[in-house]
Amino acid sequence: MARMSLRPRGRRPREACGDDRLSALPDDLLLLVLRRLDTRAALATGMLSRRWANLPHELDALDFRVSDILPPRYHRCILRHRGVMNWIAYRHAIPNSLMPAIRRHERRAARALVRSVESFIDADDGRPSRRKVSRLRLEFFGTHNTAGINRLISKAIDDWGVEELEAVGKPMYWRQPPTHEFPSHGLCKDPRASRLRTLTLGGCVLPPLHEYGGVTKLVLHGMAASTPAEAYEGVFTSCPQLQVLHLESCFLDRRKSLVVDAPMSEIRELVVDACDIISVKLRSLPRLQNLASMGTQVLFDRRTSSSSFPCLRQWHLAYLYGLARKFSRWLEPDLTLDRFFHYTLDITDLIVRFTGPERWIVPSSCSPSPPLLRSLRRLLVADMPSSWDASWPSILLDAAPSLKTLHIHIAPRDAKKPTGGEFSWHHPTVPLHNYRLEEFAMAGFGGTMSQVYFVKLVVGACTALRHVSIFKGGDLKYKGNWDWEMPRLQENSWNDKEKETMEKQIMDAVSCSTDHLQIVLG
Amino acid sequence: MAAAAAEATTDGGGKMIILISADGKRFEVTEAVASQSQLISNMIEDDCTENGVRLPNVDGDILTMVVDYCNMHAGDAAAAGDTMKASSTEEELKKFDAELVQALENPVLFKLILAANFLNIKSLLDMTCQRVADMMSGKTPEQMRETFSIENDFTPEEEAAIRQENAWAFDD
Repeated sequence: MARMSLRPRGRRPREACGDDRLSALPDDLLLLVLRRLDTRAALATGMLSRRWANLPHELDALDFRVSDILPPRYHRCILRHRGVMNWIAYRHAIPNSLMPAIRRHERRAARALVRSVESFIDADDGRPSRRKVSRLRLEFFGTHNTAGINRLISKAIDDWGVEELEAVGKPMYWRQPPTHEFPSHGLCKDPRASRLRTLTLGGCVLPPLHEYGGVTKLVLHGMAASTPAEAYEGVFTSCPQLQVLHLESCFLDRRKSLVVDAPMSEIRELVVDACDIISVKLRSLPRLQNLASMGTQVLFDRRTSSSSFPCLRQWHLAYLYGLARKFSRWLEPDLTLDRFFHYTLDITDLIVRFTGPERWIVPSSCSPSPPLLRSLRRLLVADMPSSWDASWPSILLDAAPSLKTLHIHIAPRDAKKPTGGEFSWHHPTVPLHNYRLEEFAMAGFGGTMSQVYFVKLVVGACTALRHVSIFKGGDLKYKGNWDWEMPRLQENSWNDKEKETMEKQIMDAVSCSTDHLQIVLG
Repeated sequence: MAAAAAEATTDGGGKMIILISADGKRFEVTEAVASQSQLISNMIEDDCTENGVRLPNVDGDILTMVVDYCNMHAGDAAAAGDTMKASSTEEELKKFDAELVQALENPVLFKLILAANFLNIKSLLDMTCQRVADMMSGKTPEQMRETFSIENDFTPEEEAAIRQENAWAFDD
């Protein structure tokens, strides 16, 4: 085999190469360099000389992404097409050649990817030693001859021992997500022997996954629109080893809800993000600790018993209620506190974002005892439209007697979006009291009456308060899905007069001893 | 913060270590500075630094750079508990690092990689390898050969076979 002769002659790299000190570095150091290059550049180094020819074989992470070979001309065509499409009146002005050019670039890239993948595997088949690859990322146009893609996935799992696999069918421009299909036997030949730990699939028909006993994290992104509810539900029940599941940008027929009833599941982390699913109904996930429901309605089923989610501690809840109401007014959502938190009595960390301008949570009709958020320690109310009555979170504070940290983030006013005007708010008639809250911070403070009112309300009602921070800046930073950082202190954002007025307002309202109270205005 | 500073002085100022390069140059550094090298850190633990640490693989001029680097980064660990301080020096460190690697001639850069590897200083090894990677990326094999004076010793047939295998690098 010709390839065998490509080993460097002699044990040490040749000294004869004059100034070529780079090639004189030992393999493990050159590999440290190659692992910092993207896959294409790393493979290109195999062309440098005999010394380098075998090094790419040692790469433990490979990326084959069709986006990497789409030429700049393709992106220019798309920008041009988008630009025209934004002006409905000018749509007739799109040059006839534009879409065919876009499709031509896509076809060329798709063919090049498949061709490259096939010659890569062919060369690999001829080698005496097996590759060891821990991570493979694949992105392809799912509509073209994709047998080579399936071959690569199967080889990666069966032969290379891949632990982290990402296979995403990319939609062609202006087209629906692809429906790439894996062979009838699934992703690979021997799933039980696979070393797969993390799997990301997109733009494809969900293959059977129950035999991949080692997969603990599964991400499904933009799956084929034909995927039935039963297939998603099956993931919860038939992969009992799964600990982390993310559903992103998935779509389900409008008439169906997704029902999650998996009393044997080990899932600890569930993220449902930007899915076009009318609702995800949670009935049982006994190990669930972290839940993020973003842009998708996730409900606790009414048949749920309060012991169905005994481990749930952190919830990131973000939802465009306003938008849903606009499109389906007959579905008047029940937004009482009770409806959200009846089954989540033990949560300790909560992020609430209602990004629609129309509604907010209202108090339960009768005050439950013990309080609904009895274990809550940290609360962030984020993206609150500046037109909202900022004192609204007081109902959450009222329901959370153990709260230690309360952060409010007010979204900067977006000139493009209608604000819906000022909303009135029926303030609770019973006076608010809290004996545990130590830290209160508000970001994006604009000095409106309701904001000042809320600051005074909190300062007056919370006798254990130690830190009050009011930031004019509103750049909140999320650390993962369940943690966040308030803005950094900025000097000089308050002038002396504003500072004096604000501090006086706070000091006049305090109920606790002022000796320990630290006020930061940033 | 006061406590952290006091601890740093007792820790760092307590004991000095002599490093001796291949050509006999001697460098006196604090334990805290030297401990960034995992190799030396292990030697300190095993109490074998009494008579100075001989580094037969590292030339004096390279060791000067390594010691400069370690002196600059020795504050890292002490400041870790104090986020305000860490953030204020972060910028300076980045600037120092960037200037250090940018200025290096190729042969010196490779010697520094070997030294960082031998002394086991992960952050320095990462930084120098990244520099080589940055010099390679975006280049064709021919341009890479020029940059690093690599001689193409393939026969045309071998070159064609390698090109076929690594077609992914050349399709666009």
